[in-house]
Amino acid sequence: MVKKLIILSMMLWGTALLSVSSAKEYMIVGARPDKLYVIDIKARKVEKTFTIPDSTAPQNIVISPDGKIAYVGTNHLRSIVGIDLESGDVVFRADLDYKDDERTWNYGFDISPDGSEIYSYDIPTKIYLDRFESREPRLSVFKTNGGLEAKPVREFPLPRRIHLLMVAKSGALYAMGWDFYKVDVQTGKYEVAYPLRNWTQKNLSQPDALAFWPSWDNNGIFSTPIFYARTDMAEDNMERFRTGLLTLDLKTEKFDLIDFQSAPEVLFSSVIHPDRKTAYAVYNTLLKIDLEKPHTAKRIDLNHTYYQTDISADGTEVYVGGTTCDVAIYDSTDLKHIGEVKLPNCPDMGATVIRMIHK
Amino acid sequence: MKFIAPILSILLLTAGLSACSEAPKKSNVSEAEKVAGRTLVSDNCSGCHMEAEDGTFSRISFIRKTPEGWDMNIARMMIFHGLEIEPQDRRALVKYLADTQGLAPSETAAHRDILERKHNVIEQGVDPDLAAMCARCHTYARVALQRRDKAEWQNLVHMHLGQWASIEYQMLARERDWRADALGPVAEKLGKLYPLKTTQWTDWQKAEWKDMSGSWYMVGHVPGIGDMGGSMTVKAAGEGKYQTAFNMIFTDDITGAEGINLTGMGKSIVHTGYEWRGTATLNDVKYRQIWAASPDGNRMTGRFFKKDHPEDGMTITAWRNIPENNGIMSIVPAALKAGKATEIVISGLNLSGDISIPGAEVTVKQASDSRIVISALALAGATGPAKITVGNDSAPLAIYLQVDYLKVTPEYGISRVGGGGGPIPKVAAQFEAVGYTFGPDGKQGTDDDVNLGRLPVIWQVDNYSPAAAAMQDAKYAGHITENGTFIPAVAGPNPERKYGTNNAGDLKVIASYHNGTRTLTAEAHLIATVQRWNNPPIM
Repeated sequence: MVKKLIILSMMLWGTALLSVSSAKEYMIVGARPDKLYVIDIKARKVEKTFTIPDSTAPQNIVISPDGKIAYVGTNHLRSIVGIDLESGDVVFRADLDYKDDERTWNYGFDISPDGSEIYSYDIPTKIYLDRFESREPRLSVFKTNGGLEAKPVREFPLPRRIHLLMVAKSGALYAMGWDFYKVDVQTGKYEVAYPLRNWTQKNLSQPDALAFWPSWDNNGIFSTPIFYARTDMAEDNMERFRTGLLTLDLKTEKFDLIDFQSAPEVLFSSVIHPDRKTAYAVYNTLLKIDLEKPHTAKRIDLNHTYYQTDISADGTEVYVGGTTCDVAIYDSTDLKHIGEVKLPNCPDMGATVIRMIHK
Repeated sequence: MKFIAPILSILLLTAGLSACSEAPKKSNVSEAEKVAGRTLVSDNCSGCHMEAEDGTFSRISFIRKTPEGWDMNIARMMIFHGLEIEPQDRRALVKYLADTQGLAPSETAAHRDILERKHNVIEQGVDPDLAAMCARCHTYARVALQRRDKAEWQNLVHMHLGQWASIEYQMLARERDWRADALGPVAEKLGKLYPLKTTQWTDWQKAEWKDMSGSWYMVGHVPGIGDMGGSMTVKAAGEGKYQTAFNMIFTDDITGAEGINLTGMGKSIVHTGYEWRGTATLNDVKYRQIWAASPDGNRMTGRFFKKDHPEDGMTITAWRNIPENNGIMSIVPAALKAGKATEIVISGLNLSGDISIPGAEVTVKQASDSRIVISALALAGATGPAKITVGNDSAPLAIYLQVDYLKVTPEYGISRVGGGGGPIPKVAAQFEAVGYTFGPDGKQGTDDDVNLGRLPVIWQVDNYSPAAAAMQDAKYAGHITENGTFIPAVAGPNPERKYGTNNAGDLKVIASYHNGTRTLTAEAHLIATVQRWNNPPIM
């Protein structure tokens, strides 16, 4: 059954891959305080450097479906800035503190499949003269043609502690937090699509995953390392602490949990190979995970910490980036170091995400 | 008849009052000081903190804090809310608020280690839920050194949620409904544990806050260096301020040899009637004092530490030189090896009378009313707990034949990488090896074991665990001196190390004491960790 699903997924994604096969592949990353880079990844070269006006630390990046605009979350989670990837012009800006009496942080945003709307998870605090009042979080919907002082056109309440939004091919919005929610962006209605805090996995403790990393550009599948304990194993048995990959196929909208090892290391992010047979996960180590067994097939030590891993559309190259100023490139079969891209003047990438585009 | 009873009561009450006939106590904070303080609050704070008809200012009037707590409050208003205030006004505002809305001595007693900026403190006895909620980012003392009612604790939770974007997402927060818990049961619990109004504070406001001027004698211990005895002369300078002069003599607590002499001048201020805060320059090095006076104002305890290295300092006991304060304050060393002539320094106040150690011959080499130096020789066989007597006072002293075992203190130390071109200096960790005898029961680790004081040992560090060994922590994290000072390595990524990681390490510190043919060893745990980037007065 699993194999059938994988083959089906490959077939479905094969069409997507074919459509980009003639296009050139680029990586988009940010760096503090205000830089956005377009990297010709196969040429190992920074092709364009843009400056984001009034910016402190780019983090989340969302690319318009036509690959022309990068929407960058910056200003310590308080602004979303749309940058034209050809000209560098600012074509969109939503400063979330637009209400005089509010301070608002964004913990994730994504874009509709037609590119017309941005969905932003916002956490507001009302600021009184002499006190703060923490308010309930909300989904803010912006029109991408909203200009440089964009304001939400719709707002809906959402649960607290959501940290990542992703839009499925169908246009359904998924939000990962205490649970994985599916949100109707028209009505604001949400339901638990996959329980995490109260999951029903037999003999497994409440899981822990704090995912910020969108590594679904070249495979159509969200994945994140997730940690939990086997409650049916002895307390002193270190094997009871487990690492899995939680995945959500953004086409079929099916979730999966793949337990692949105990918990010998910290892992921040993962990416699934387009063939769906292999995955990669990163922090201080880079793992190649055999999803069919499933187990860790290979592990290498990295020369420093990297927050996000991603993969080329053809599945031959694995990328790791974030934390300092380089993107390291590994052969996806044997994890041999095959290249790197250093950002000019070595800026701090911090918690920037990696996006892959084709044009 | 209904009216007669109250009238009678009033008459009786009046009679009672006149029988006591005590003059009304002078208020600890004068009317002029209150007016000046209120003016400062009004001038600097009322733009946001509205003054109500009853004279209270919103938020401010419903909180009590230590001087450091109030100062951090003002700092936050400056950093986050654009308050501009002259340094002298800031100091005056802290004094006014700490004097009128402070904490009583009994309310700060349990958390003085943190207030005194002691290194290596692991807070004990903290409610695990409050520890997870509050003390995962800062000390629990920072919470427990404030007084508010539930609604004000809730305001503090809202401030945290509005100021720190990741507060609900961090480890120990994200697995719970942090906001609901913090605003609900936690605020409720804090309001009960640390309410605004307490009898301790009411009583302390009524008590007479003493003038601290006079002559004081201090004793203290500097780990790895020895013991100090010395004088502090305090002159009143008005408005709770004082000028100070210091003269300290150090004694090596291993050899008994006289060490350096530290002298200098300083300035101090007393907040809340007992919170003594001083600055001093001693032998050209800047120091800070964070001390607390006893309720009667005649004794003080606290820390004296280097301004730029708060970890480097000593815990002090100081007595005011008055006839009631007489006796022994310290003995260095407090152990005497049988058959070996040993020099002992006795420090105290108004010391007089005969000096003796039962079971030992004593020769007085030097004597004043605050410092006596003797040579003592314990007779062979006179081992066990003993005492040293000076006139009518005595203090415990151990006579021993051999050291039975060692302990390294602190058992759990912390150092921090620093330097390397960065703005944060290294923070060293100082260890000491203390000898013990088994005591009469012949067993290690029982109550009758006798502390023999610091011993000369050979120091080394090693990897604490297999994981530390794999990362070669002992090679990279730093080195330990002959004197037990662990000097951490430089800050920043180290390309030589696996993962290019910094020079942090998980180490054991090993002391070896060679005594004839025997070698005793003991270990402590050292976390050689990263810099603290945020060093507020209350961590």
